[in-house]
Amino acid sequence: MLFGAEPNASKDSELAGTGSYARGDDPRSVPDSDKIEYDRMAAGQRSRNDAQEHQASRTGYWQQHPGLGESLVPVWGSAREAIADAYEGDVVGAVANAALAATDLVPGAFAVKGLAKGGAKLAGSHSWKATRRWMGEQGMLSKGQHGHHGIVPRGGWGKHIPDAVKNQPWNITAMPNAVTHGRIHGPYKGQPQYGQVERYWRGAPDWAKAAHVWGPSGAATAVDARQERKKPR
Amino acid sequence: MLVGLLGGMVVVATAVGLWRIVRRSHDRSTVASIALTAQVQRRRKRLAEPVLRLVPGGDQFTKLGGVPDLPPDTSPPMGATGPLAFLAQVDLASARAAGGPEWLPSEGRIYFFYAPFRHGFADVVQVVYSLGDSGGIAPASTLAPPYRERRADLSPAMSCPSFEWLGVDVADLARVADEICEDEDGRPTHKIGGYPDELQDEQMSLSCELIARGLDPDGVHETSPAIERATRDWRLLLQMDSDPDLKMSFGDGGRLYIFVKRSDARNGVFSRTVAIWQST
Repeated sequence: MLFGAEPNASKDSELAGTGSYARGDDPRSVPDSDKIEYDRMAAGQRSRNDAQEHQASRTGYWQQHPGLGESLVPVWGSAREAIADAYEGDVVGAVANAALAATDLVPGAFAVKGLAKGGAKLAGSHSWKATRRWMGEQGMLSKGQHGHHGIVPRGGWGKHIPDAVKNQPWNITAMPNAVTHGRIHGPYKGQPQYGQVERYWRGAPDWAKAAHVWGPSGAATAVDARQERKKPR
Repeated sequence: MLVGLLGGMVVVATAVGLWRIVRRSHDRSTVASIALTAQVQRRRKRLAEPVLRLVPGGDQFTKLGGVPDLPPDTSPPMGATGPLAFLAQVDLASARAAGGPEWLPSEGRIYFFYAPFRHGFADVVQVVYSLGDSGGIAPASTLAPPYRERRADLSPAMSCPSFEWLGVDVADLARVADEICEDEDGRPTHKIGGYPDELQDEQMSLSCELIARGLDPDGVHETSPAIERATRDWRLLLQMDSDPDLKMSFGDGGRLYIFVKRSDARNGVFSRTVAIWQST
């Protein structure tokens, strides 16, 4: 409308009801050459939107990737990630995570065996002599088998740790033979002392060895699950 | 399904383990195990022997660490890199007078030397027996002593053989009060005579006899009646404990046990001793 000009009442009434603000609800007077293409595109997008909403409403617990904490649980975390990958058709991911879950099982057997045989000496004397005999009674040490303080030593700095803490099955490694035990501490029967890494590995209790496997395995699962959760569906 | 299987395996393994523990606890209180325990305890009391604990104090000849007071014509044993480390010296007349074992000679002095590179061999500790008067420091002892010196008093007590010494499997016994004589008090235990305070389950009298016959005690051996009879002749000559005050450390809180045949000791023969090292 020009300044000072009067409104055109007849043109306003013509535009009303054409589907746009300017035309009102009246149909456009010029043919829409893009209408067919546009309608096809709109229909396709509506169809995809409907499919996504339907899919989201069906997603259950096993189809979701585990969170960070759950990923770190040995066996469970990797197994859940493998199942979620399988649902998504990610074959490589499913196989890899299933393999991680399987490797977690091996150290898990050590931990279960240790728990099944009894976790801690609670009553009676905690002297090394009494603890060694108790472990023999519980079947943790065979007749004649050496027990080695694997984490907290009995002497040295371990002297400041109470017997009730360090003289427990969690800290005692059953040695396969006297030679192995001897070579942890020094040269034995003419054979040299083990190197530092081998001394630790041979002397470490089974649960400590399991932790060395579960730590990296759990971390790998957690990273994979996080990346999967970030992917657009 | 996989997770369910895994969970089931964990539950089953735990249940089996707990069942074994409960069953084993029940077995140990049977009539047979109680009778066996009583029999073993009676035998331990019957075999009690005098022991002399080397406690701090006194200004006698007997001492731990420092430099050996060898006679002028006696040198310490030599290793690949020089003289062996001096552990202890004992005056036998004082030991007998203090109520020590009757199988020790009534005169003379014995010296103990340690070879750390000989763990697992019978000569990890070598013994020198001398009837001569000590005339001061032997010329070969020019190296700084590895251990601090402490004069020792000889404190008498009674010592009973352990279950390990008798070759008894504690799993066959009922629950029993552990010590009936000479208990450990947590302090380093150096002693002459009596029975050893084992750190590991090893029948050391049998080990000594096997070693003396040229056999490896860490291997599996059939023991004959002759070997079993011969094991009864072995006696603990000296037990040396890891002792931080003396800067003595034999592994992780380890101990050295030196054994002699009773018959050899009575004749003043200390060249056929067998030493065993144990650690935890």
